Order: sequence, then C-alpha cells, then structure tokens
Amino acid sequence: MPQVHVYLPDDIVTEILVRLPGESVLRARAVSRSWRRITTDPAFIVAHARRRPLELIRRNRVRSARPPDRHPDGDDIAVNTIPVSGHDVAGRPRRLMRYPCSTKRTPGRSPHGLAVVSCDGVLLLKIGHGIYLICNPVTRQWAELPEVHSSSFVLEFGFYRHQPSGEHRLLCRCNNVLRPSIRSHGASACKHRGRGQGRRC
Amino acid sequence: MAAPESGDGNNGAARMVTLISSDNTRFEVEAAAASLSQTLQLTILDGGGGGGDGIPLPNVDSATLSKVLEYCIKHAPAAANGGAPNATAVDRAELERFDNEFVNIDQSVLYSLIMAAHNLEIEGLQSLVAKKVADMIKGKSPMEIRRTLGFPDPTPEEQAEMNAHMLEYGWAYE
Repeated sequence: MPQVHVYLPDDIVTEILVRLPGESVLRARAVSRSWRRITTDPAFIVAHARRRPLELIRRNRVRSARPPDRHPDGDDIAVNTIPVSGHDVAGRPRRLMRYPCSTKRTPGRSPHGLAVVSCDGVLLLKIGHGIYLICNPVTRQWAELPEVHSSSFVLEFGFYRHQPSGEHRLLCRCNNVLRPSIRSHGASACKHRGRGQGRRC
Repeated sequence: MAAPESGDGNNGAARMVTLISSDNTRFEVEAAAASLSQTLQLTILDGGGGGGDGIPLPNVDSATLSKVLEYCIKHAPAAANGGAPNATAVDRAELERFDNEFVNIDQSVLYSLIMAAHNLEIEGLQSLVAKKVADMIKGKSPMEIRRTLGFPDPTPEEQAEMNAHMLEYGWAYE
C-alpha cells in the first residue's frame, strides 16, 4: 500500500520517539536529519530517561584481551545494566561499556567500587580513584573525563550540564585546595576510547 | 451516545456543547466529553459552546473530529472519576479493548488523529496514538521506518549518513 508522507511537527515526533526503547531510538537517529536532531536534544534525553524501566548498574571485571605482561593487574572493567522490573527481557544484563585496562591508568583493585550519579539522563561513573566516566545509557556512548591527579584527595561537589557549552561537567576539589576544579569532556562530544571523532551523546 | 448520569447540568440532563469542524459540520456533545480537551475545557468553563454558538475548530475536519469525539465520549466517565479509583477491572479492561481497536486504523487517519489530539491537548489520545506509531517503528531498520512512514527515498547523502550510522552502532541492529 503506497503511503503518503504527512509532515509531523517536531513536538509530535518527539512524543512518538520518546516511547521507543534505547536500541530503537538509536536506529531512529539514522532515519533522517530532523529525527537525529530531535533525539540528540538534551530535553529528549531527559524525557526518555524518565520513561526508562528501573535498572541495576553493576560493575565487574573482565579478563583483558591484552597480553598479561602489559599490566600485572590487567582486567578490564565492565559496566552492565540489569533490568529490575523488566517485562521485556527479564533479568538479561546489557553491556553498557567496557573500560579497557591500560598501563597508564588502571582502576586497580581499589575499594571504590562503582559510584554513580546521573544528570539529565547522562551517568557519571566513578570506577576507580580519580577515574570518572560519563555515559549515555541509551546510546552506550561514553567518555573519560580528564584525569584528576591520582595521588590527590578528591571531593566531588556536583555533576551538571553546563548550558552554554552543552558539556556535562564535574565540579570537584583536589588535595584540599580551596579553588574547585572543573572537569569536563562534554556530553556533546562523547568519545569512545581509541577513536578520535567527537559525537553527541 | 453514552450518557453518564453524573452530569452537573440542570435537572440531571448533561450540559451539551456544539463543536464545528473545519468543513462546517456541527457536532453536539456532552461538555464532560469535550472537556477532555484542555484547549476546549477553558472555553467550556467560560460558558462557551452552548446554544447556537458552537466552538469552531478550523484545524480539524469532520472525519477526524467524529473519531476524536468517539474517544472522548468513551473516556469521559472514567476521566470524570478522576482516574477512577473505583473503576472496576472490567471497566478498565473494556477501555483497553476499546483503545486497541480504536487505533487499529489507516495510517493517514492515525496522523490526522495525533495532530488533532495535539492541537486540542487531549493527553490520553495523544499518548495512545503516539504509542501506536512507536509500536509500528519498533524493531525496524531505518530504511524500513522510512518506508513504513512514507518518507521519500533518501538522497545519496542521506543514504551515506544512514550507512555510516549503522556501521558505527552495529549492536543496535542485531
């Protein structure tokens, strides 16, 4: 049956797309430029996050594919979500991200576990001392914030979206220095490790 | 037409209002049903729409309006109970059955409905149709979505962007 394309205003397209599960939202981004603009809008990400079913976030170690001599403590860190009230796929974990071990920075066997806060549907994960990642759970895009000096004492104050730049920023204090330090990577320029292109979360 | 007895009109008769579609068809409907529309509610509370006046709706044609009113009339009693804490499971199941059948319609009618629901601010109808369209999209590839919704064929640039996206987010297409 041939269909006649009817122009639907952005408000209505938003109403429709916000009801899709994460994977479908991501596919919707490929449909057209206007759909991509709608689904990458921070307001959309917030609205979509509000509708997400409850999920647990779990960190675990995964044996690194790298040769063991590269790093003695070389396990990757995996972060998974597990649906709590899911009627979709009950209990099946979904891989959110995998943080590769590196000789430069490793979460180590730190007692930090996984600390999580969220802002407008974007997560801030602390997976080790001084190692912060931001992650969009819908698209599974993630980025590492610039290193907070590993020997220093870090006190986090806040995680927020900086309106003028569209970046997500962490406000923290290091080593009892009174001047707060701002770490940002910009959710609007989320990067996968190992690939250089910036893209929107 | 369903006639709930809880109308606050005179002598038990529910207050009626008249709506006029873009093609000048007049629809007489209970104020309680029309008030599901946030836009109309204000006018109705203000005493409008009664008698010979009628409320003109220049953006809604008669076919769409009659469909919209069918929804409003069915949902008005439950809405009057304020989300219906005393609604029985049977009532709710009946509404659900009605809703499912209600959106089982031609795509162009769906589009007109969602536009009308948006203009008239009928929240329940808006989310019902949006969910229906979302269900039509769910699980489809970008190209299938374009075909389903009747988008024109993508330009070579759009096609290239689509391919690049699919390559980058392969996991979303598994």
